[in-house]
Amino acid sequence: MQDGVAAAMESLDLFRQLTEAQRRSLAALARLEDLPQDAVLLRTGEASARLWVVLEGRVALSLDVPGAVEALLLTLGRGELVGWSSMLPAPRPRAVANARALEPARLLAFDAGDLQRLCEADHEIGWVVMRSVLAAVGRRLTETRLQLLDVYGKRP
Amino acid sequence: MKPRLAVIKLASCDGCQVTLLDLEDELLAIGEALDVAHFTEASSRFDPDGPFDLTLIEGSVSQPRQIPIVRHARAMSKRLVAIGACANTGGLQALRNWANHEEYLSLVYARPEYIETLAESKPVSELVPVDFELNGCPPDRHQLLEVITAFLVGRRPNIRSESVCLECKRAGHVCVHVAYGIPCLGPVTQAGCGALCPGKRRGCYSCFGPRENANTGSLADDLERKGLPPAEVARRFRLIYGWAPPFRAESARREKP
Amino acid sequence: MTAQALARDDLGALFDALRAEGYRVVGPTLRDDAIVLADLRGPEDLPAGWTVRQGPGTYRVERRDDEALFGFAVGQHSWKGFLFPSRERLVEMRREDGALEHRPAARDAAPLAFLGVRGCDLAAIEVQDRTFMRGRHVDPGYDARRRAAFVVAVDCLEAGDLCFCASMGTGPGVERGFDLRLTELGPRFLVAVGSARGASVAARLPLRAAPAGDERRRRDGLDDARAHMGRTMQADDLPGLLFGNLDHPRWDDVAARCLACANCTLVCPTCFCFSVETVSDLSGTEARRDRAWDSCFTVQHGQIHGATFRPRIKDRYRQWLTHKLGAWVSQFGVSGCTGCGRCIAWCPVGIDLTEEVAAIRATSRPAVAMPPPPAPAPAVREPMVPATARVTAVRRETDDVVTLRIAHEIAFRPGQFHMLGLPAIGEVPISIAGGDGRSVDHTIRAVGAVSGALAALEPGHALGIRGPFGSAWPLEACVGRPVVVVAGGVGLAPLRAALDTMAARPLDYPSVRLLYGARTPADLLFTDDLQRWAADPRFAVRVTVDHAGADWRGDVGVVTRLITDVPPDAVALVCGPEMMMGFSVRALCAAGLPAERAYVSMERNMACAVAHCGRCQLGPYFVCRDGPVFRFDRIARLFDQEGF
Repeated sequence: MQDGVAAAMESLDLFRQLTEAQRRSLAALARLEDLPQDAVLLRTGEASARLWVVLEGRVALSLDVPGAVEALLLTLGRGELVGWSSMLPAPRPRAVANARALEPARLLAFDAGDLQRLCEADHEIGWVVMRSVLAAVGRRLTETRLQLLDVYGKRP
Repeated sequence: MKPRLAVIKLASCDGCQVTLLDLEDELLAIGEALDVAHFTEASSRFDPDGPFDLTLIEGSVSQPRQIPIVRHARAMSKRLVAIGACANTGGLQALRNWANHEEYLSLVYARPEYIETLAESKPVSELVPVDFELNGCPPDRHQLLEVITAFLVGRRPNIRSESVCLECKRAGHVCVHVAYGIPCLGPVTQAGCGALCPGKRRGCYSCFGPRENANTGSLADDLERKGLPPAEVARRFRLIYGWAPPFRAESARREKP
Repeated sequence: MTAQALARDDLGALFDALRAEGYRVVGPTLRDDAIVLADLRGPEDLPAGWTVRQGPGTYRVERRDDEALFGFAVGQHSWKGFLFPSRERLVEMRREDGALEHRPAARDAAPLAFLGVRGCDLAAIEVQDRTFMRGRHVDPGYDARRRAAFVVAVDCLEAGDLCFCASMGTGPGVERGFDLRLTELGPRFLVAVGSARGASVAARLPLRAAPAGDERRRRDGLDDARAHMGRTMQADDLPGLLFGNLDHPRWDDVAARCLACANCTLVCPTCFCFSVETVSDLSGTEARRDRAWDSCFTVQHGQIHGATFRPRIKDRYRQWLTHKLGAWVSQFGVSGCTGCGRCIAWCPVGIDLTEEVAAIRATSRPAVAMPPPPAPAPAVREPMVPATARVTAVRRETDDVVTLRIAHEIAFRPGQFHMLGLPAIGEVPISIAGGDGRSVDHTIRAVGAVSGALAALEPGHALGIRGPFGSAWPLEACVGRPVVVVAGGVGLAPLRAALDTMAARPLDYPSVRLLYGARTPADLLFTDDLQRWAADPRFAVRVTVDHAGADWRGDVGVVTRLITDVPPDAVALVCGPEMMMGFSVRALCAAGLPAERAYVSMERNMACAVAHCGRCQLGPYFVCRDGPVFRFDRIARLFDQEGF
């Protein structure tokens, strides 16, 4: 199993800046999760305790809209983070969206507590991890703004 | 079924409605194309209840009793077109908006208690949304015909928000501002009149109101450079369309000591 | 050949000769305290003994201390009023009982003799010739009037207060392009013949040998005028200078003064922009399209479906000056300014372009390279008259989008567009979404009056069609390369014919990736085509939407999220809202694609579609002629520029 983790981490851009040794210590905290279609990773209101990286398949983030159908916000694919808010300092915010596998999916899962402790203990690793998380969040913010612009609306 | 037309009047001189009647060559065709359901200026038919497909509304909202008339017209009309300076921006009678309304009432009327008016003369659009505003005091009859035709055939009316200068130059009139030093509001006024005044060697006094993106400040500076005192510049902006926001702001700026 | 002269007292013979040859004589005359251009009865109508004093925003006629007939600089009127009238009917249409007829409007092309054309104004006529006669599409009315016109040029031996023809190389002397040229030397005119028509008129004149020294007096007079120009402008590098300084603070400064009244553009002898208006009777049976002088200073000039590309006065002044002195060279191979000074005199607040240019130059950033003008192309006549065609099938794509199949035998290249119109409603550009030589498909979203009326057509209905116009997707440059197609919303329509071409030629297009974004699953176009392409092993189709319900199994998120792993040798074809194209090309470039292999399809206000009306300008380009498909690096500088 851990061989699979190491290989998966090596294949991701996310961890490319880590040294071999750093990647090994990170890999020690990770495990592979295989999810069937529609498996739920996160539910709105839960305090998330894990950070996932999608390896295969797609994960959908959705919002429960009272009195209406569930709204899909974003689908995430290979190399993208799920549950990044678990990396925020305590008290960790509760999830504001649901995350579920849109199709059978394989993910790399980290226990957020372990990961934060490692980052705290080894700031070299911590810097790379937090920068990767920030890059992912920043990109998602930009993309969300584009969605808000509703560019396909009737006005150019 | 022919589309039903209503022509409604608020506080106004009736000149805009008369513009419709001035369409002598087209009046019969308009009567053929539209069912004139309510037009008290021209017809004894009286059907203010509606519903209407096209309503032309003239005049400003100047009295409390006109408020429900406007709301009713909006509710009963598929398209509501405000025609003329009064309906667009309050009109000439909006000059009272700068004065003390109670004082005016007591000066003008022997029994002011019989008079019910609002403190301000308001445009129709301040009360209800309008589908189109046709400028002019009164509007140009060809433009009015264009609004009606465009409604009937389903196109957007060719009413441009450009300056009077374009019409003036297309007509080949010599610019009165440049060639004779006559102050002219044409550059900040919406076209539509056919540049009538400059064609008769008079400056435009903006009876069609501000055009889109009117740079009133630069023109007012120029009028002052040409020797008009600021108070006179303010007066020129405070006339028929004086209550229109760009002109209102400019007259306020020039009025300051 | 010895120089010839015409006595001033014999000038009436010139009028007689011109009339004998069939011309109506027009020229300068004093009217309403200004020198205007109008019909002339004879020499007595010329402004003898008058001159003008001009400054920024002022013009006054004054008596001279002699009786010179041409002793004044150009006035408000220019000859364009005769060749390109301020209003002209273009097309007449009739719709009755389902039949639709389009015919060119009758044109007034009675031969005119222009008496007193100065060097700057003759240059201006030749500048407008390039717009209306020398491009791919010929304006038939202008062409007829211009060919019929007889030019009697007059040298300027005195410069006006606002003249700078010497800077622009258009005067003060007239050396070519005339039929006859007069040089006023006191009691006589030195006469030069410039054409066979000129010779024919000259033969009717009581010419005598000019006294020795007249040629020298002419040259001395021209030198004197050249030395006393009221204005100067350094003109050598203006296009690159202005386009290299689109963010110069002077644009804000001039915008505070500019009234956007459009006077400069209407008095300018070269400005050619016009609007096309649809006019009809109350029933819509009889309709016509008229054109009228328009200006880049009006909001309608740059407007499409209610939104304007140049909302601020700053955008409009900058559009005007960068076009006049810069983009014109790329569009037509000549500057749009002749140095006549009209725009300075007739600006109500006296904005002086020579001062504005000097101020920009004083603190400028380096000039940039500008594209060369396009190669000549065979001429097409009557470009404004639509053909009548019929709808054969209508397919509803989404709530507000339909595809019309129109019977129309025409060859087109994917990416081009047609002007589609209805007589009393108007005309709009619509991209070609497919065709088989016998019919064309047009996918139309109902957003305005015209597109709404087109989208409501039913099989059997007739409409007007003009084209095809514009540039195409670079399908030949894509041969043998991986192709990445990025489409947003209805932007898939202009790409559909290109995708079908690539689907039909498997050997040429081994790998095609289609990345398609839309608002919601219900807004996706061509769902059966998407499935057909997806079934082709060479195609990879990814679809993403901005908003979806839980039943959607595709992707959710902006289309740029799909842009990953771009092959370094790929070509990208991008079409959608401008904002979406900008982000997509940036993502493609970030993934390693060079900008010269990214193509986008632009949208601007197109009224004529033949590079005459000036409304669809995008810096040095016309979107209708040089676009709509552009190589991205060629427009990158303007892409993020606010107000273009």
